[in-house]
Amino acid sequence: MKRREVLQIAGASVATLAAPAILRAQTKRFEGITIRTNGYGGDYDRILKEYVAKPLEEKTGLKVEYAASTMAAAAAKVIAARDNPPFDMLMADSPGLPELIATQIIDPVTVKEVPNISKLLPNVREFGDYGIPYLTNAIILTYNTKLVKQPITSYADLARPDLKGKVGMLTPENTGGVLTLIALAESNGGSLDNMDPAFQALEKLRPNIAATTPATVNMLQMYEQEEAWAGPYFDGRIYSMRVKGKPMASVIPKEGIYALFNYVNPVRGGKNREAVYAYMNQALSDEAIGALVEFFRYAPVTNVPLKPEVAKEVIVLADRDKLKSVDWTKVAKIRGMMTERFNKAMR
Amino acid sequence: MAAHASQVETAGARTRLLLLLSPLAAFLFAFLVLPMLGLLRTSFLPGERSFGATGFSFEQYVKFLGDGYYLGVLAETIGFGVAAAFVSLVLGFPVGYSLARLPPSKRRWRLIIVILPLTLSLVVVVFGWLVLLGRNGLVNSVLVGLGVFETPQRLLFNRVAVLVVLVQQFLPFMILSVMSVVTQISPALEQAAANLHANRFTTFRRVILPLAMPGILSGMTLVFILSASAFITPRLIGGSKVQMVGSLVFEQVTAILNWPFGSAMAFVLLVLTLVVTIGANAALARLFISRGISRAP
Repeated sequence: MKRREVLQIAGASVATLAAPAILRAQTKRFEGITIRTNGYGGDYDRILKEYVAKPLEEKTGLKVEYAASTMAAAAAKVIAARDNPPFDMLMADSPGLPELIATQIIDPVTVKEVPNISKLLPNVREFGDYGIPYLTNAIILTYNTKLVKQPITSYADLARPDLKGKVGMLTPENTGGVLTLIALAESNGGSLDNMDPAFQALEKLRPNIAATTPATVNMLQMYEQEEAWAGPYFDGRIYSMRVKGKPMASVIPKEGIYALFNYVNPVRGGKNREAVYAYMNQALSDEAIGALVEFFRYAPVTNVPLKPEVAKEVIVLADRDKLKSVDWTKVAKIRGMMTERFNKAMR
Repeated sequence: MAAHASQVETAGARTRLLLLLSPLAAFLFAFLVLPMLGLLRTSFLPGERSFGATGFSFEQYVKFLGDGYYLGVLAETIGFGVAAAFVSLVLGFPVGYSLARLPPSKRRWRLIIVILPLTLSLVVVVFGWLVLLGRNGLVNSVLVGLGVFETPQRLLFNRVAVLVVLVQQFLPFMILSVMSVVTQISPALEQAAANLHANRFTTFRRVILPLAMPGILSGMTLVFILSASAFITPRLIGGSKVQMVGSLVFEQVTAILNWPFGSAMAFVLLVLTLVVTIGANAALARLFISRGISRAP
């Protein structure tokens, strides 16, 4: 047999053996497709990559790129290039959705496109068919049980004399600060249409405030350094301090729970819409939501089954009925006023 | 004929200089001047949003300049800039002078230590200060350990803490400015002054200081501008009590998305910073030049 014939037979044999694998790869639904989204960075993106992007890639060949950036920066890029947006999806929190809807850079999504929407709990979709929520971040109260002897049960308790100079507070630049002001307003007879009671309560609270900060991580440092002993803070962050050994209690305030949701949204004009819907469906899977809840202990937006030791630490889970609804469109209109009045009150 | 040849040569040199500068000029025009003109236009938009907004209005400037709160923050911002500049001068001049007088081989590693903070991210540096000055931080631990205090003190969230961190961040600019000018002052001048029975203070006052003034002015200018426009330091170190215009601009633009008002605040700060800088430079330069002329034989 001539050498050429041998090589030809060998080549044909290899091709025959490899054919099923090649054909299998070629038939993956989103093979060769990459979708791009902004991200929150850190552990958040790590978990989304592990439990949303990776399973999707294994099942469908779809690749997902996360570019950590603020929602405002990502939205600005999309607005600047509407015909060819740099992102196929945008991740945003509740306060950001009114702007995204008003500037018409995101599209609505229904259960027809993303079947797992049927798993969502009632009242978690705050903007009709716009936005797919996948996690709750709630503002509750916390205090250092080693340093604060008398338990705290309400926002009013933060004005107690034993907490003079020991309360940490987020500014309205941070959504946690906005939620705190709304809680102060509504617990003192006010509302988003009348925020005066919030600032009257803030004035009473002022001698007790150690410092305010717009950065969630900065507040974490304040509690770890014991610069602040008590205050309103995000439920998942309080848990993360406890895990590191800090004796921080999680308290559902008597006034109720104010929360935001983390959303994912399809960008109008983005390519690969079917792939985006597949991502969103996977983001609502028990696998993905369960992983996020297990790591952060933020409350889920579906009835995902949780291990008992995890469910115990998701403080908001048992008190979902105390979750207050927030009109974020109204918040967007008055946020400038809230921030200005807050800055003037604190100076 | 010789004059004509000289004119042609000068024109040629000017053309070559313009050609060399034109790429940089084009870059600065495209990425600095044009965006700033865009922001300036945004500052004259009415309302709280720039997206889709039209019209021309002074309302943003009226809101800022007509409110005592904002004027107070502006005054405090300029105050921080001036204070940081002077503290940097007091701390940085001796270091810059000593570096300038060292032989190059001994200067090298000390210079690297001076420049090292500039290579770190500002956010990382500020978070480091939060740990250092915190209740359980190193400074409190040392003070309590030495018996200066019985319990840890609150060292953060006040004006002194903000000033300390601003000075630490921008001190290298002062040191390098002073060092670069003092290097050019011949040590023979100090020796000559000593020969003429001038003591060290007199030599410093009448020889070193006037000759080092350009470096001092450029160092103070840099520190003042950088401090006045700071926003990370007051936000994280100052708590709510220390508010600077840079923080307010950042808040308006990124959280409230009120670009018109944020742009107006930024331009007010820019203009005031330029006025203070140019005015101070002109006044000090005139003072030292007029002193030099009056002492000339």
